[in-house]
Amino acid sequence: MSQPLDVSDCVRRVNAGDLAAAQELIQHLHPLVQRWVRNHLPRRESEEDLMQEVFLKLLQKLPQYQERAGVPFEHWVSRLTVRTCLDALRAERSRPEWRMADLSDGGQEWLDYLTQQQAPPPTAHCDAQEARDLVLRLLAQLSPQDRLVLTLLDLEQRSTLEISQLIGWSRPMIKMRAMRARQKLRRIAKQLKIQPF
Amino acid sequence: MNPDFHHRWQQLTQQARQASPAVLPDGPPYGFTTRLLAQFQSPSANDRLSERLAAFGLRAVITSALAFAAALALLLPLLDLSPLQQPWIETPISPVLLLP
Repeated sequence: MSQPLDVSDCVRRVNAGDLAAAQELIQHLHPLVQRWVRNHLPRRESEEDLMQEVFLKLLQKLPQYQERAGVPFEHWVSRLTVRTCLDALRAERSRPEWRMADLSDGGQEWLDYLTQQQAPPPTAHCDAQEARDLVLRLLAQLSPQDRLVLTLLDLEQRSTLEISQLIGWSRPMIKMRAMRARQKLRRIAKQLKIQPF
Repeated sequence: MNPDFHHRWQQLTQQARQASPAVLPDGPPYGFTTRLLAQFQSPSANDRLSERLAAFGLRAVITSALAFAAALALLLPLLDLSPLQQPWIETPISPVLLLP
């Protein structure tokens, strides 16, 4: 069984110019970075390109990293990754266009349920993947910041404290932003329902 | 905020969370780390351009400072530093003029 990586020692060696240590660090952090990137990837960006950008930033900023008691290194990496993803989302010029007809049957049932008070809850045959697809499509219509907050809060179920530490906003601001973002989502969903084609 | 929409949105996201997560590979794809380290070690095109511009800018500043010093050394002896003459406007010219 492989030994767990001593991150502090590895970071020290990378800063001293040890390429083998850099390779170990990348291998160690790859799953974490990939999880973040996959959940916050802009539509037109390749996952591998964005990951490469994250790791390049990480290696460039590593000399500035200061170890703090009780704060794991992975937290610093997560913050850097989320910010890089947010920058990439901001750089995305236009939001993807889609229509009701693009949705699966399950997705349409969910959209009816979201927008019409009298609509019955979706039937059991609507699978989770269809629900996830609809959520991601709706979130993609929001601004990068709104999308990020709702993904972290509603989809990944992170606490406002965690989000605050990740993106540097205050907790009341996160709550306010999430509330407004949900209002926008409601408008977007209704609009989509009115203009189906 | 419409409480009904909020509740239904929460139901939708709860269902979405149950979607099976995509299987993540154990490590980076083949060649990823090598490419990344190579890119990290080689200065980018932007870095090279900014280095050149910085070097060029520094040389330009030094050259212009030397040219200024040389010009000053050459022209300083030629400068007439005597007090300026009274301006013409101080001399009354109206008596000289033949007014119609």
